[in-house]
Amino acid sequence: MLLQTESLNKEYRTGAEVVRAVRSVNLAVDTGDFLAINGPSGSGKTTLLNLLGLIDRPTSGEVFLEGQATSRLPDRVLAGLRLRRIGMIFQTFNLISVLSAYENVEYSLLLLRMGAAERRRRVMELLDAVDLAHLAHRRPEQLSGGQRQRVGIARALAARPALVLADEPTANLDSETSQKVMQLMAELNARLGVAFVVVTHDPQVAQFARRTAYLRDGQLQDETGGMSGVQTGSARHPA
Amino acid sequence: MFKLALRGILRNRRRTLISLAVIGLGTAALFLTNGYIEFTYLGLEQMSVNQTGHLQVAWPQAWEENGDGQQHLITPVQQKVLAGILRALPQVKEYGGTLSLAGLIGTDRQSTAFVAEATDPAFAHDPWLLEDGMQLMPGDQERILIGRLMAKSLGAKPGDWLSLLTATADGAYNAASVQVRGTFSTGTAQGDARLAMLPLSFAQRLLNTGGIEKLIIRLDKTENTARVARELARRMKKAGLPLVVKTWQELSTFYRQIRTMYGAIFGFMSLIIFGLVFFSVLEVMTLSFFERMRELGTIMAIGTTRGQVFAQLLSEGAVLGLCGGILGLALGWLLGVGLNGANLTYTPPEMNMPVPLAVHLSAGAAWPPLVIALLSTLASTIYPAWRAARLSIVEALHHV
Ligand SMILES: Nc1ncnc2c1ncn2[C@@H]1O[C@H](COP(=O)(O)OP(=O)(O)O)[C@@H](O)[C@H]1O
Ligand SMILES: [Mg+2]
Repeated sequence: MLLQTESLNKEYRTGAEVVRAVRSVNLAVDTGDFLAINGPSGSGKTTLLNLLGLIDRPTSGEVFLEGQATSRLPDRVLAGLRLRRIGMIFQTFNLISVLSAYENVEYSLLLLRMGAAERRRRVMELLDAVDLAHLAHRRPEQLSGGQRQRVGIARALAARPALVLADEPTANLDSETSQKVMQLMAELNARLGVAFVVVTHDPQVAQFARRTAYLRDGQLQDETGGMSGVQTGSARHPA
Repeated sequence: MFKLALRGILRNRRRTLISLAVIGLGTAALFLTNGYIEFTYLGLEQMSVNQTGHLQVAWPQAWEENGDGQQHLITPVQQKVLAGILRALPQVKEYGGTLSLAGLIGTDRQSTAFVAEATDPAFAHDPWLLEDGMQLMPGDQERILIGRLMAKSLGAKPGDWLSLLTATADGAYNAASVQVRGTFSTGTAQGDARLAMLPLSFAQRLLNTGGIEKLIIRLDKTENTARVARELARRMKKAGLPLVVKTWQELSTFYRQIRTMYGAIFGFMSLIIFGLVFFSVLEVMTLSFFERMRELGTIMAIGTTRGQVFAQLLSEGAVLGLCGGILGLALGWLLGVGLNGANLTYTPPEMNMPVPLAVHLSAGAAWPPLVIALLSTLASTIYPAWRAARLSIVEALHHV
């Protein structure tokens, strides 16, 4: 199993009030999977995704990445896992504004100390895959929203992660561009065998997933099917 | 990393320009101050060496404040031994004996106390600036140079004859007539009113001695001073001479006082500039990192460690400090060249002669300001960088 959670809980305390943003979530993601997490605003999707992406620590419970329990690993080790095993795609794209599209994709590879020739090949290959090779030297502000998100996708895939996490990747795009971006993710999922977990409150986007999980008030719904709270959707991918 | 640091700095050009201006102006100010101090040291070094020679050899008592130099003279025999030692030292350019004597000098209407230094005119020991008349010449006997103000108070001009009264080495009075050859200026009123210069052989005749009080030694290069001093002391000890060597630094209290004072001034200025750069860059860096919180959250989310974030932000400080420092040195250099070209002079307090106002633009004057620019910028980057590197990733990502 690539990713698995065990009674995952996250509480936020603001003064006397306690918000249980994620409650007893048991979730499993296989290699090459494409899971959509659906749910209304405030249902805990972002919180859950942050826990899965190892950028936040659970109040209780555990996240296993490739069998390894992560909740007690030191920051440095978590950073290494994020760098090598996990790719992140953000709702607001979050490209580094002073770097070109090319350099944004290259960033993780520099952290990995990859040789110049191989690095160059990898970056161009990815920019090709997202159909942006011709805009490699543009800065983010010179790209459209859809183009920026495609750079974001290429960046997430640069270090050849096993898992890509995306939080509302299409929320800032028009519906036509959204379709294309989701199409691209589904295609890369099929072609590269990288697992995707995409958080969205847009039911249309969920069509591209193999499976959809529903979150409400921090809890997974529909405790039916083979896996707790996970429903097999009508996956629509090429190939 | 460097590229990212540079881009990080160029992100907000206006703010970066302000930082660069503060760092650059601070560095330039320090560079010019240091250049002026170095220039002054060089001038003082020259002046001190002119006055005292590079080295002096004498009985230890000869330099004592109330010591009676004439009680402890270097005998003709000792002078011969010394001459042998000095000839064997290749760095020694020339040397000559001195005697000092005090007494009264004047006409039948006016007289004043004087302190005279007697040297061999052939040794050309002429520390003071000749104002009128001419220098003493080898072979001169009853001739004297007197200070500017002494000449004025006695109403004496070059060519006039004066009477001179002094005590001999064994305590008897001796009087002689001397002709004024010239008048000089020492730079201080005290010196101009009291000092006189005589030919050594004439002074020896007046004091009825063949001895000298001090031997003044000039070297080929000032930087050889310490080495030759050690070697000379060793050889004198071996030869059984009970004499002591002193260097010009030891002899010139003025030089040492100025060095201490300027050292303190430079230290104080460095501190002020350090503080100025520190607080302005601190502000700039804090703002600059705060603005980039989401970006910092992003790079941590995709696998940059906190240590790497800290190092990257710190390298921004280093690049800023280095650029500002180098710009400052360039600016200081330009201003310095302009200043040196303007041939300015000024008259320091306690002096009655103008001295040139110029700066010595050496690497030695340049590196301390550069180091201070770099250190102050780095120091002001450390805290904001540390705070930024400790951000919660989730909070940083949600920051707008
Ligand atoms: N840092 C926080 N402090 C306090 N409450 C929070 C914080 N982040 C999220 N929450 C709360 O947790 C719940 C889930 O939020 P979130 O995971 O952002 O939901 P979603 O992404 O589905 O909109 C919400 O009620 C939200 O108000
Ligand atoms: Mg959300």
